[in-house]
Amino acid sequence: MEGLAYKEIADVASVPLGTVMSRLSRARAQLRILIAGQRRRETA
Amino acid sequence: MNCLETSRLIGPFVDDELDARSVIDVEIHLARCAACTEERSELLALRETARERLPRFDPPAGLEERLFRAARKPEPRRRLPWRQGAMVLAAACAAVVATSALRPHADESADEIVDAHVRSLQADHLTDVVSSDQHTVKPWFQGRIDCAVPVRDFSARGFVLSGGRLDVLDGRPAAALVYRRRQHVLNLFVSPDAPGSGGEPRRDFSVRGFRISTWTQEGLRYRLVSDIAPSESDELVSLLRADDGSH
Repeated sequence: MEGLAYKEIADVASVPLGTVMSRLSRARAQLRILIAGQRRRETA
Repeated sequence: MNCLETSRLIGPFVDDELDARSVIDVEIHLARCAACTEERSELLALRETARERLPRFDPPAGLEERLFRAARKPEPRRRLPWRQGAMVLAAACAAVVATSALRPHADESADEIVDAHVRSLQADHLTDVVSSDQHTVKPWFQGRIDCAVPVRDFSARGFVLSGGRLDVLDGRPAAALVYRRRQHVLNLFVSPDAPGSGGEPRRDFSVRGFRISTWTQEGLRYRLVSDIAPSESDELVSLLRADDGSH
């Protein structure tokens, strides 16, 4: 959302590139779970 | 390339972070796999939703420039979505851009320390490594911050080490050690002292009902913040500053 590349995120947050990628992967998964749950509640 | 491999790469693929060879492999697989194509569509929809619906913070003037100038390369890059409130990575950057207006002096303000403390108390933002064992917490910081973080548990004195996380203060990484005293949470921020700063004497002050103590010791800057009574906070500061060589 801020237009940063993975490497730039790694630099800004002082974490290894691999950490950026694994956290993004987990973040996407968690967001999808949260949104799916929200959708269920909205249509229930 | 099969669905399992594609599933692993679909995130970087959507973010334009894959090498050319992998991009081709993924595209070939997507051309003949409806399930993975569906997953790609979901990811794109997720990115749009995140951009539209996730809360944004306005950074104070100058902070964003200072921070991103250090990271951004001159050549143009494609846009990348990464924000997620539950992840410390996002929280670290969000913590930086959500910081209240900095006073125009070199050190981070007391307000920023309090804000970092309060932000950490939100769900899931308190610790990344959860352990009372200094031999677990201390190595966790290696590679995440460029200093050796002294970690000690003081359970015997009523200050229980809960764990640690990486935080950001004044635009720079800071190790955060989390202690608990009864029901209260204390944050001890540790970061490398600025070279040539010569260290600073201990200072104690109260801001918005929070007790803050700051000092420099052996080339590291310490900032302890909590909402416990000053006398109790002073007790932990004494324990931390005591050179008993037990670590």
